[in-house]
Formats: sequence, structure tokens, C-alpha cells
Amino acid sequence: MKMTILELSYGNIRKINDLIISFEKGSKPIKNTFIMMSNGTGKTTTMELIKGIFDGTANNWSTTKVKSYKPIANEAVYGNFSIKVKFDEKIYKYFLDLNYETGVANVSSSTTAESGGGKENQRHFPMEVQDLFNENFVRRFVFDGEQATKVLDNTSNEAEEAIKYLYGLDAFDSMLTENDKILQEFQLKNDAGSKGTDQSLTNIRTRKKKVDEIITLLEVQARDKKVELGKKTSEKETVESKIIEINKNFTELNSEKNNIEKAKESCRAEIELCINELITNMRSPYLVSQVFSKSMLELAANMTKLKLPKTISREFFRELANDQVCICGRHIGVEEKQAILDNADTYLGEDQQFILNSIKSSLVNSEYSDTLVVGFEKMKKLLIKENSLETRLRNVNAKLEKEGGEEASALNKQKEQIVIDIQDLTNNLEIIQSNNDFDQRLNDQNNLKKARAEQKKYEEKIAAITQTNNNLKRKNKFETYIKDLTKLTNIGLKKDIIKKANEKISSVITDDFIEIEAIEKYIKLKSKGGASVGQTLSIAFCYICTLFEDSELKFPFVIDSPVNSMDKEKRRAVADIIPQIFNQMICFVMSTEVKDFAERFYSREDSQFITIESKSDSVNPTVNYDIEYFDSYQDETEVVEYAF
Amino acid sequence: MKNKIIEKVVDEFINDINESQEFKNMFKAYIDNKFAKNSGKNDLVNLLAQLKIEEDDLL
Repeated sequence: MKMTILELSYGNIRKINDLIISFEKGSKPIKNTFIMMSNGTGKTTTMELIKGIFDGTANNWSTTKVKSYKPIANEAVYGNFSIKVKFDEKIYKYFLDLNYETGVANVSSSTTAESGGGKENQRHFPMEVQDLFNENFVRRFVFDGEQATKVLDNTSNEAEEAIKYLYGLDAFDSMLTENDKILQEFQLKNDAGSKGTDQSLTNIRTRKKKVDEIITLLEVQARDKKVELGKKTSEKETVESKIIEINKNFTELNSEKNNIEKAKESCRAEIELCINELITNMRSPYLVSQVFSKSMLELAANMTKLKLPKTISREFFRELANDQVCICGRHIGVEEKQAILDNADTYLGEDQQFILNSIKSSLVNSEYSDTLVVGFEKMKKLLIKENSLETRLRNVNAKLEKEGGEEASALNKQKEQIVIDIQDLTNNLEIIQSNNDFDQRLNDQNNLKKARAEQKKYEEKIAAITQTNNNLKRKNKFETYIKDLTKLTNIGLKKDIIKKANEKISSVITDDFIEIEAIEKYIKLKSKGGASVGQTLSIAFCYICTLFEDSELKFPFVIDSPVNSMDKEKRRAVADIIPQIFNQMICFVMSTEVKDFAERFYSREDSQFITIESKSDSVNPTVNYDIEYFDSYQDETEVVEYAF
Repeated sequence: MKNKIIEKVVDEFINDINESQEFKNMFKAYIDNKFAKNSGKNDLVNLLAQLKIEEDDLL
């Protein structure tokens, strides 16, 4: 399925009283459109309106937000914005009506008319894509700089979500839901023939429903806490780097601080090592106490009276009987030979005896030593050393804070609070996700594993009562298949996407070696802590382009100031890549983005260049389709973010 | 299912599972249809009926 935007229409929105931007030439869609809007004319507003309509979030806009679109120069009570779209060959129109008096926004659509007839109070999309028009997905093709940062940002699960939506992996989710539903329906039908009383079944179902709700809640909480933890971690890094910058002004103190931190780090490493040694030694009871050692040695002595393993020992007696001299040095004659063979059985036990023999040989070595005592002494000293380093570090930090003034003090307080928040979040998350069966804090109300075990218990009870054990087994088996398939397809797709995106990145970023290493919740770069603004945008474009490249669905790409922060080589490379991937590009540019980007499309017949200029708040903006006007247009208020 | 990677993973997975050929064929068709948003609930009901299980065992 191919989606093309044909027209944007504005009525009484901020500085625009009446404006239509068309993306068609005759009846043919134009592949690449560059729109230059002077600052304050409505570039950002247009992006917001498009997103608000497509993802439906405009319906929930606050009164203040809706009223913020009210024109300054006239007393209009209503504003409107619409988008005409073609899905394959079918026309759809989406409307956003703004009531500036009540502060209410309403999104509606029409699938029948060009002129807005047949409006329905819902957003209608073709069936194949109707699930995709949500906040997450719309941001993939109505794309701005903020989105680019999110792709590399460890606080968002953008990258993984994008794969799920674009490749339709949510089909697997729908299979799981359907699977659950089938079992439930079957069990409801089977109620009549159930073994238990109606009351007991109802009770179990009610309890299971509660557990289901708890699981959903815990999953949401875990997801939210992970996002929050990511945010706090990056906040902490930002604050720490600010503190480091301030501290650099006080060389002596700063160097003392660095030395203490290094010493503390090495002390902590020694402590960890010591803990491991202690734990290993504590697994030997004879080292814990002399009493244990004594008992274990006594046990070893008694075990010598135990019988020998049958198979091996029979062979020993047979060989001994056939020898001429015994192990004690005496001669073995016919009588002795017979006596050995006759009495051998008395000394033979079962083969499992070898286990006891192993225990016996272990016990023999259970001699007490002061290893643990020495270890604990060492640990004690290390902890004292660490405490002392901690105190010294606190003192140096206090001095640095004093020297750094209010700013340093505020930053340190902020850091302390963030550390507390991170600790809280980590603890909460651990409780939700822990698999430790011995943790007394965990129960089926706060831990996913325990809640799932409870859910399984109720599922089995319901299945037993409704005599649907086999149905439950089928449901569980099918569920395992689908979950395994989801994992495998994700791995396969990610591998392919990483390979293709890296090929693009290497053609865009030629002055540095940057590669995507993995797609986890976010994109992880190979051996690189971070990327510059220009690189971040380039990586994001390459990644998004790769995602859309093999996608079943062809979408337009609406972008705001895509290359403002890029140098000329990257601009040229991005200009070459995007048109190959997207069936349509609508690009809001600044005058600084003409060189090495927009100008590369001048010779292409499938491109148009629009300049929208607002002379004053009271006059409707002028629209100019002239390529030369576009090329020479300069907005003096624009700022180039990075010089190149 | 037009995506080659997904198709390959699904094919390999289905080939490897210990189920009847009939189930495998139905499973493949079900996934294809589900990705094309064409599949109905009855398809899954029929598919589940073909799954191999140890009948009437305790869970």
C-alpha cells in the first residue's frame, strides 16, 4: 500500500488566514517538495497539526494549546486545517477543527468527497494501515530533529517499536490475543458440563481476572520505571559532567579528588575479590568452625568401614586370588585363593558406593584452618579503608562545592537527589522483575514471576473444572511457538537492518567511523560513547530509511529542517538517499539548507520549491512557486546551528 | 508475507517443529494470512485442533 499526501489546507491558524499547499501537478503527485517558510510563519505549527491529525492526539489537546493557534490579527472563533491523502488510488481527507472559544479540537475524516462532504467524527484509514496511525508510528514519517535524537536515546524504546510497527510484527501479538480468547470462549461454553459448582468457577475466574490485572499493571510499571531509570541515568551523567567542568577550575582540589576516586575504585575491586573468596571458603563447613571440622573427620574415619563398589572391587579380589603373593607379602596358595574368593562378597557393596567413597575422600581433607578468619580480617581492613576514602572524598567535594559557589552546590544537591531516585527505581524494578524464589519481599502482588505462577495455577484450575485441560495445553503450546517466532523474527530483522543501515551510514558519514552495533531498546553504536548533532541526524536518517526501505507499506516522509546541523558531505549524501527510499518527501527547509541539499533537486522534474513568506501578522502569507525566488530567499532570523 | 527475512524465519521455524505436515501447512497459511490481516478466528480454532499434545495428561 502506498500513501501520498496531496494537499494541506489552512484556515485561520496563527498567521495564516487562508492557504492551500498542493503536492500535485495536474493529477500527478509530486515526489519531492521543499517548503521554505520564513521564521514564525508556521513551519513547526504545520508539523504539529499534521501529527495531531494523523495520530488523533489533537482530540486531546489542552484548551491552552488549542487557543494558542488563534490568529493574532483577527477575531476568528474557529480555525481549521485539513490534509488530503491518497492511499493507493483512494482519496481520504482528514480535518482538524479548532474552536478558539471553547478550546476544543476535533479530528474528523471523509472518504467520499473532495470538498469535505460526508465528514465522519472519526479518523478512517484503510484497513491494512488502520492500526498504525498512532502516536509512535506517525512520528516515524512526520519526522523532526527531536525524533532523530530519540533513535539514539537510551531513554526510549523507539528503535524496537519502529521495527514492530513497520514490519507488522504486531501480527504476532494479535495471534496471542486470539489464542487466549479461543480458550476463554471454549471454557465458557463448557461451563454447563463442568465438574465444579458454578460458584467455585466464578470465584476462580474472579481471582484469575484480578491476577491478570496485576500482571498488566506490573508490566506497565516495569516499562515506565525502565524509561524513568534511563532518563535519570542520563540526567546524572549531564549533572556530573557539569560538576566536572566547574571542578576543573580548582586544579589542586580536583586532582586530589581524582586520586581519591581512583583509590576508592581499586579498594572496591579488592573488596569484591575478597567477598568472592569468602563466599567460596564458606562453602567448606570445616573452615567455618573447628567443631564442624572435627565431626567431619570423625565421619571420614567411620566411613572407611564402608563396603567397596561391587564391579570394580570384585575384579580386584579375582586378580588378587590369582596372584602368588598377597599385598601383605604372604604367599597365596590354593587354600588362601579359595578363602579370598569365598569371602570377597562380604566386602562388596553396590556400585553406588563410589559416591560414598567420593564423600569419604572429601571428608578426609576437612582439616580446619584459619583461612576464613584471615579473610574476614582482611575484609574488615578494606572496609575501614573504603570508609576513610569515602570521608576524604566527601571533604574534598565539600571544599570543591564551596569553591564552586551556588552553582556547584545546586548541582551536587541535584545529583544526590538523582542518585536517591535511581536507587529507588532500581529497587522497585528489581522487586517487579526478580526471579529469586527465596526473596521474602516478593509476592504475587508485586512480582511478575509470582503473579504469573498464580495466573497459571488459576488457569489450570479453570481448565480442570471446565474439563478443558487439552485446550489449555494447546493454548500454551501455541503461545510458546508464537513467542519463539517473535524472538527469532526480531533477531533476523535487526541483523538485516543493521547491515543495510551501516552501508548507508558509511556513505553518509565519510569522515568518521561510526557503525550501529545493536538495536536494543535504542540504537547502540560500536565503540562510540556519543555522536555529534550532525552525525546523530545522519544515523537516524539512515536507520529510518532502512526501516522504510523493505517495509510493506510505502509512506511519505515529512521532515522539518533535516540537514541544518550537517556539513556539506552529509547533506549531499542524505539528499541522495531519501528520494530513493520514500515515494514522497515533503521537506520544510530553512534558507541555510538550500546549499548542498535542496539545490541538488533543482534539475529534477519531480520536485517543486515553494516559498511561503509572512510580511506581517495581519496579512495572509504569500506563496511563491518560483525556483529562483526559492534559491535566493534569505531569512535573516535563521541561525545555522553548526558552522561547516 | 512479502518480507523475505520474516518469511525465511517462519519457514525454518515451522520446518523444525515436531508437528504433523498438515499442522505445518495450516500454521504457515495462518501466519501468512495474519500478516495480510486476512485471517479469522476460526482458522486458529482449526489450527489448534491439529496441534500434537499428550491428551488427558495432568497439566
